[in-house]
Amino acid sequence: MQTEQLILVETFCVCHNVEFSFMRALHETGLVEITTKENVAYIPESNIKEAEQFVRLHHDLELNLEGIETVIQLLDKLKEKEDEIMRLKNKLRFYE
Amino acid sequence: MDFIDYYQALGISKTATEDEIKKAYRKLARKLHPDLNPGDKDAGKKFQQINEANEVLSDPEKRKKYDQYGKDWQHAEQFEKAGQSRQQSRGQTGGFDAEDFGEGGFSSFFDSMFGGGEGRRSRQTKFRGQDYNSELRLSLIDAYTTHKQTLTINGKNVRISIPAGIENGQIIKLSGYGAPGINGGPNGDLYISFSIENDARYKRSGNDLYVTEELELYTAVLGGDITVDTLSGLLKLKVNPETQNGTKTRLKGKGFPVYKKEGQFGDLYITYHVKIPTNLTEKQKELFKELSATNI
Repeated sequence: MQTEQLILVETFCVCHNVEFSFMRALHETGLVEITTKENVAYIPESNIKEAEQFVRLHHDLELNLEGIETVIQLLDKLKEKEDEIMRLKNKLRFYE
Repeated sequence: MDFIDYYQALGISKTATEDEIKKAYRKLARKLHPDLNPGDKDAGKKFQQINEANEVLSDPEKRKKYDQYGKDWQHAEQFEKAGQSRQQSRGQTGGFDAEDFGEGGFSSFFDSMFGGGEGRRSRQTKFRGQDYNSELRLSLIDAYTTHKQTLTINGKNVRISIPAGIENGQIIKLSGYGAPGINGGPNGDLYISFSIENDARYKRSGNDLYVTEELELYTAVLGGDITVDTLSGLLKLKVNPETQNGTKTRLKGKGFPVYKKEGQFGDLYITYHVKIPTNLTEKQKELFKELSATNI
């Protein structure tokens, strides 16, 4: 059975100098997964990289939650387009 | 570390107000933030520079010191000592002004001028390390199988596993394999861009492979068995009688592996190219003439 490493949200908040409410809001918008066990909130380790990215966007660019969400959506779209360009380029290469 | 002109980095004049500095910083931060420019090696470096510039220029004390010594920060201490001795023995030395050391241009000062290491800043800004970019060239045959390769990135060996089916132009991110973070910030990432060389025999389109196979005239006319070399080994194929030149046949699941989907493969398309015999003997020519006379 695979076990998921969990990090205390409180620890994450202290390390990254961020309010607990911010993490809760990220969770409510579906950006970060938070699991609660015996009234203690944890973030799965697999989510840490993303959570750190959201904190950076929040701190460095003073983005609010809506801003972060928009940026993430646009970055996803950008990635999709880049992949599509790559696929099309490879298709063109086929006819060269 | 290269030192930068902080005013130039933020694109502002030396007389910029606090508001102008803040505005310029915000504008550039949104443009250059590494999270918004994944894989852009310059963005991370520039972002770090504008952060440093903002930290200095938005602090009146630091800004004053920076303005005073400019690029010749290295002489700052010497200058201050000279200033003191000048005050003690005015008129004897003739003295010198800050202008003697020049002003403007590039400053190399942050660590040295404001004291490197701990306690130099009221709030230690954590910077994410710079991302590294690397290109890896693979042959089509290499890309066909999952294999490991060792890359040397900035003097360090990084062993990576390359999944079968990787595409030309595809970029793989290895989190944390970039430059180390600053002040406890996270490491940057390593982006490896794959360049798959064209193969003389196989053409690839997505997960499908295309190959042209020469067919003897007699096999094309009468049918028979042929052996085809594929990336998964030799294959015996039945050729139908009266197979036309340019006929395409599909071999399901004999194409390229689907990226990160073990056991799944694209298809292999074989186009037959019927070979017309050359250097015929007189007898053979006669036989062809006879055949021709039958008006097939």
